[in-house]
Amino acid sequence: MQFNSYIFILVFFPLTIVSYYLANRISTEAGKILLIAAGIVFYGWADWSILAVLLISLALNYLFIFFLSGRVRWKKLFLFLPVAINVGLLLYFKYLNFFIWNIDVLFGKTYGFYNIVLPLGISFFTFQQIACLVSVSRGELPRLSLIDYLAFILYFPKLLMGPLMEPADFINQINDPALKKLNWDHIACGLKIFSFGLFKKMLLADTFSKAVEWGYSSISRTTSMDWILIMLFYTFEIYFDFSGYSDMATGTSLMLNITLPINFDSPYKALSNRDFWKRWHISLTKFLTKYIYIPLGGNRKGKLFTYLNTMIVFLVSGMWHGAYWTFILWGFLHGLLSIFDRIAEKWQARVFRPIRWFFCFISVNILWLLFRSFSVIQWASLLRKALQVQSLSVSSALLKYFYLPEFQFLTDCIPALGVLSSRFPWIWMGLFLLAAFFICLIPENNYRRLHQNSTLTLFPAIIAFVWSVLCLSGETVFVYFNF
Amino acid sequence: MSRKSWSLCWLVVSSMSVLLSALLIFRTDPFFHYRAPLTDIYYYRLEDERGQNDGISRHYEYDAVITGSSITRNFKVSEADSLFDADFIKIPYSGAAFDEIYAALEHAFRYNPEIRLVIRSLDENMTFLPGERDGSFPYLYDNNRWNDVFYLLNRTVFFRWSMPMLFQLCDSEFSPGIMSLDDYSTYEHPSGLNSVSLNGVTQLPAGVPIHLSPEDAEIVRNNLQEHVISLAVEHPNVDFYCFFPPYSILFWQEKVENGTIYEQFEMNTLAAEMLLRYDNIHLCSFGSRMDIITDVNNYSDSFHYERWVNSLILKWILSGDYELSPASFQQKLAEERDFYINFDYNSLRNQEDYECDLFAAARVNQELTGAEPILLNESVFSNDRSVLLPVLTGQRFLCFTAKQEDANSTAAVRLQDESGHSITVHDLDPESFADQEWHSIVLEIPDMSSYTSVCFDQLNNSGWYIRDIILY
Repeated sequence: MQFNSYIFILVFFPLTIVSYYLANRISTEAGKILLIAAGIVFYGWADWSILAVLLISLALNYLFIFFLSGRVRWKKLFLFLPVAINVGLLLYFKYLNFFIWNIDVLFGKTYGFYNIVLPLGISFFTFQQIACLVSVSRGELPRLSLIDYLAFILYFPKLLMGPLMEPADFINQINDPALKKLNWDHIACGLKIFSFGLFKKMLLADTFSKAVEWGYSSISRTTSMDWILIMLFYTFEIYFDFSGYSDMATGTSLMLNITLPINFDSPYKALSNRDFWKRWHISLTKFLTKYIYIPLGGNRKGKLFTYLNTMIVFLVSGMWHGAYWTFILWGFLHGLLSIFDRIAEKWQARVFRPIRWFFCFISVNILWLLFRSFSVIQWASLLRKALQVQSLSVSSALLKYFYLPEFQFLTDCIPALGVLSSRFPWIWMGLFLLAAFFICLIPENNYRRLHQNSTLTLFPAIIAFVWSVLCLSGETVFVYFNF
Repeated sequence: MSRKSWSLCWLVVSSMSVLLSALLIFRTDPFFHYRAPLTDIYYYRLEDERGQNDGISRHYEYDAVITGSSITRNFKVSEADSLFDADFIKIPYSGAAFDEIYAALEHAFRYNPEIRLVIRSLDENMTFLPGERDGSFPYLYDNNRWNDVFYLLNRTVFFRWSMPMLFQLCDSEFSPGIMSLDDYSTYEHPSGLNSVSLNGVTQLPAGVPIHLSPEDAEIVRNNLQEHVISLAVEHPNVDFYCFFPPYSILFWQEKVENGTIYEQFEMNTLAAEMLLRYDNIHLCSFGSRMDIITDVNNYSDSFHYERWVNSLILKWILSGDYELSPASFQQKLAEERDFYINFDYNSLRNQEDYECDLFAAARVNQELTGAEPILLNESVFSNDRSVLLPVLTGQRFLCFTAKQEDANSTAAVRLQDESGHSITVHDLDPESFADQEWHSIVLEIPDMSSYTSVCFDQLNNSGWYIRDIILY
C-alpha cells in the first residue's frame, strides 16, 4: 500500500487512526497491537505472500534480541550473527544477481540469474532491525517486549521508505501515556504536512517524472537542451518524490502522536557536498555514521583514515541504493566530493556563497543523472549530449508533459492565456521550474515549520490535498520504493 | 484559529470538495459509465476511444457494430446505417490487439443482445499477444464498482471533460447535444507520396523469405479461435463481416524487402481457412483493388487509408464482390501475394502527389455514388461568372484550377440556390497563389444538389484566372 492511494487516504488511514485512539482507551498494548495489525495490512495489501520474508526476518531477529536482553555469554557473537544474517539476506535479495552478472562478464560465462523477488522495503526494515539489535546489546533498550519490537519494525508510516528511526526514540514515544490521547495540534499539523507532501508527490514529482521518462525512452530524438532540462527535472523529481513521501510519513505519524525524525532539510540550499549530506536523507546518513563510520574510527584516526572511512560510508550508501555499477559510482563520486570538501574546507568558506551553491547544485544534478541511468556508459553519453549544447531548442514532446489538464482547462476558459500558451509553449514548463526552485530555495522546510499552523495555511493545505486526490488515479510509485 | 477548528475545517472542506468533484463527474458522466448521455442538458464531445467506447456500447441504441484498430476510425456510421439498413455504433481501438477487440465485442453483446451485425478489421498483428494497453481505463470495463473511484476522482476527467461541460452551460450560445459518431475518432492527415514516403521510393532486393513458424502459427490459431471465432460461435444469428485492411503498396514493399510477405500471407491464409468454416463469418480481401492500393494519394501512411477508402470498404462489403469463399481463398490470396512480390516499386517514384488530397476522394466518388464526372467549364476566364449546375446525381466535389497574378486581391466561390440564397464555400487566398502558377482546388460539398449554380466572385480586374471546372 502507498500513501498516495485511494485505499490509504479514504479507507485505511481514517479507520486506523480512529481504531488506534479507541484501542488506546482500552490499553496501551491494545493500541500497539492495532498498529502492528495495521502495519501487516499496509505491507501485505498488494500481495500477502510478500509478508513471508518480513515475518521470518522479524521472528529470527527477535529470537536474538531475546537472548541479547538476558545475561548471555558471547554477547558479541549473539550480536554479530543476526547482523550477519540480516546483511546476508539483504545481499542475497539485492545483490546476488548483480554478483552473478559480474562473474559472467569477468569470466565470459553465463551462469543464469535467479528469479528473486525483492521484498518491499527490505533495505529499511533490515537497517531498523540492525539498529534494534545494537541498541539492545548496548543496553539502550533494557527490556524490549515482542509487542514493542513488532510495533517499531512494522510501524507503517516508516515501514517501506523510512525515515530510519532510533529504536529508543520510538519505544519511548509509543509508551508515553501523554501521547495516547487525541492531540488536535498534532492532527492539524499532521494534516497540513501530509497535504503538502501529497502535493509534492502527485503534482510536482510525478509531472517531472513523466518528462524524464520521455527523455530516457526517446534518447535519439532529444536535443542537448532537453538533457540539460531533464537533468534538472530528475533532480526535482527525486527530491519531491522522496521528501513528499517523508512529509506524508511525518504527517501520518504525527496524527498518531509519534514524531518521526527529520529526513530532509532543504538539501538544495546546500553550499557544499558535506552540507548536502547533512540535509538529504538525514536518517540514512545518521545510521551509516553511527553504525559504520564511527565503529571504523570516524575522524579519530588521522586524516587518511577519515578520508577512507568517508569513502567506505559513501560506497555502502551507493550499494544500499541499488545493485548496479551506477549506484556504486554515484556513491564513489559523492565520496570523492565529500573528501574534497574536507580538504578544501577553509578556502571554500572564502568563496562567494552563490558560487558555492551553484557548484554544489550542479554536481548534485550531474550525479543524480547517474542514479537514473541504466548504465555508466549511458550516463556518460547523456552527459556528453547535454554538455555539447548543439542548440537551445527544446523538444515540443518534452514541453507537453507540463501542459496539465488543469492548464488546458484554464487556457480554454481564458482565451488570452490560450494565446500566450500557444505563442510561448515553454511557459508551463517554466512555471514548474520556477515553482520547484522557489519551494526548494526560498521557504523554510516543511518539517521545520511543522507546528506553524494558522488560517493562512488552511486553504493552501485544502487545495493541495483535494487537487492531489484528483491526481491519484495516475497510480504512480515512489522512486525510493525500489530500494 | 484553534488547532481543533483548523482540523475540523480541513476535514469538512476537503471532504466536501472531494465529494463535490466526484458528484460532478458522476452527474456529467462524460464516459457514459453510469447512464446514457444527457443530451438535453450537456454537450458531449466524443474524443477518447478507450474512455468512451465501453459507455457507447453500454448506453447507445444500436443493432450493429463497427470495430477494429485505428484503420476503422474513419468509417461513417451514417453511411453504414444507410447501406446495411441498421443502426450502427463505431468503437475503434487504435493500436489494439485481437484480445482487446474481443473484449469490446464481448461487452457489447452482453450489454445489447439485439446486435445482428458486426464489421471488424482483421489486422496484420495476428501474432500479438494480450498485453497492457496505454491510455486505457480498465476500471470502466469491469463490474467492480469500488474501482470507479479512479473515474470519479480523476483529474483528467474532471478538468478536461466535466468542468468544461459545466462551464459551457454559462455560454449564452450553448446548445446541448452530442458529437456525431460519424465525427468520432476520425483522422485526416496529408496523403500522397511526399507525405507518406519522405525519402522517396527506392526498391531494394527482395529479402530472404520468412515463413510462419509453428510457434507463431499456434499463436495465430489461438488468437483467432479465442478472439474472433468464439464470438461467432456464441452468436450464430449475428453476421460477422471481417476484412483484411487494404494497406498501402508501401506497406507491402517493406514486407517484400524484409521477406515477411510470405509469413503475412500464410497468416492471412490460415485466418481465412479457419474463419470461412462458419456461415456467419464473411471475410473480405480487397487485394485485387490495386488501383486503390497502389495509389498512395489514398493513404496518410503505409497503414492508414483516408476516409473515402472507408466508404469504399463499406460498399465493397455490402456488394460481396470481394468476399472470400472456401473454394477460392487460397488462390486469391496467393495472387495478391504474387502481385506484391512482382510489383515494380520503382514505378511509384513518378506517381503524382495530388496538390489537393481531396482529389483522390473525388476520383472515387463515381464508384461510391454512381455519379459521373461533369465538365462544367474548360476554358479560362477572369471575370465574375455564374455557372449553372446540371441535375446532380451524387456529385459532391467541385474541382477547378486557379491562378493569381495580383498579390493583393481575394476572390470567392459561392453556391446559390434557386431562391437566390447563397453561401460562400471557399475564399481564394492570394498568399497561396503567390507563385502565379496554376493550382488545383477541390471542394467537398455534400449537399451540392440543393444548389443551382456555382459563382466565382471578385474576379473582375483582380488578376484571378479560373479554368477546368469539373464536378465529381
